[in-house]
Amino acid sequence: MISYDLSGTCRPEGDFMSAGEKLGMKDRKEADSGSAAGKPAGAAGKKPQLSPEIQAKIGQQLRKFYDDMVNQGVPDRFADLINRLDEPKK
Amino acid sequence: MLAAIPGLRAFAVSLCGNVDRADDLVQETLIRALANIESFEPGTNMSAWLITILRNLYRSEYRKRRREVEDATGSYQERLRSLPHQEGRVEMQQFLTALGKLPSDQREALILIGALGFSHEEVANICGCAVGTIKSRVNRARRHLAELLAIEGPDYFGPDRTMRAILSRSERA
Repeated sequence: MISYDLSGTCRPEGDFMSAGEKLGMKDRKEADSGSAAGKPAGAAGKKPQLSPEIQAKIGQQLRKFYDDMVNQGVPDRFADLINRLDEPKK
Repeated sequence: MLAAIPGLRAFAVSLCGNVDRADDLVQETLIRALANIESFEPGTNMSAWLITILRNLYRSEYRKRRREVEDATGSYQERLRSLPHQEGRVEMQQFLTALGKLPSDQREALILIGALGFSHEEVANICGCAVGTIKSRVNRARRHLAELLAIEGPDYFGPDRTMRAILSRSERA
């Protein structure tokens, strides 16, 4: 059975500005740090690990999902919105 | 801000399970962000800031308003129909269907890290929980996803690998 960790469930329901947002985020580190390719899981030892092939496949599909979005380009409605609202500030 | 759009859309689709609704959510996020742009600290990660806004908007408004949202399974298909034909489309369809069946906390952690490339620390910040919680959610999400894919698409990982995924599942049971 999978054991579900119920500690640290957090539902900042209704709180528009979360702690992270108020503090600001640190720079994005090395992209992909946790994904795919055989990274040993934190809970190593307790549960059987997925094979590296399966982990890689899942990582690859996740990135493809993102790449599909990149390939779709930015819809005009968003580009227009950003340009329109951004201009007066610059 | 433009560069963050694909990530926002991907995350929104994974939350809403429907591309039109997802794009409405992205639009609201951008309006909210631009109205509050002075609260963004220059030099910090714009994508993470926007994702946090989107996530909070979704949780505070969309979720209350639309309880049927969790039915992500079927509606992922709508998004795929809108995509041009491409290799691996069926495979992606299976993948997204399985993704839609994950509990939402696991799904968001997996998407933010695996698809958008955020670090565990950044995702912990975005979700307001401990780094360890995020790590365990991602691990559970991967295992869960592997099981779902192995069950639904017997050839998904190739015969050997599917068998291995199933085996690792029964070991645990």
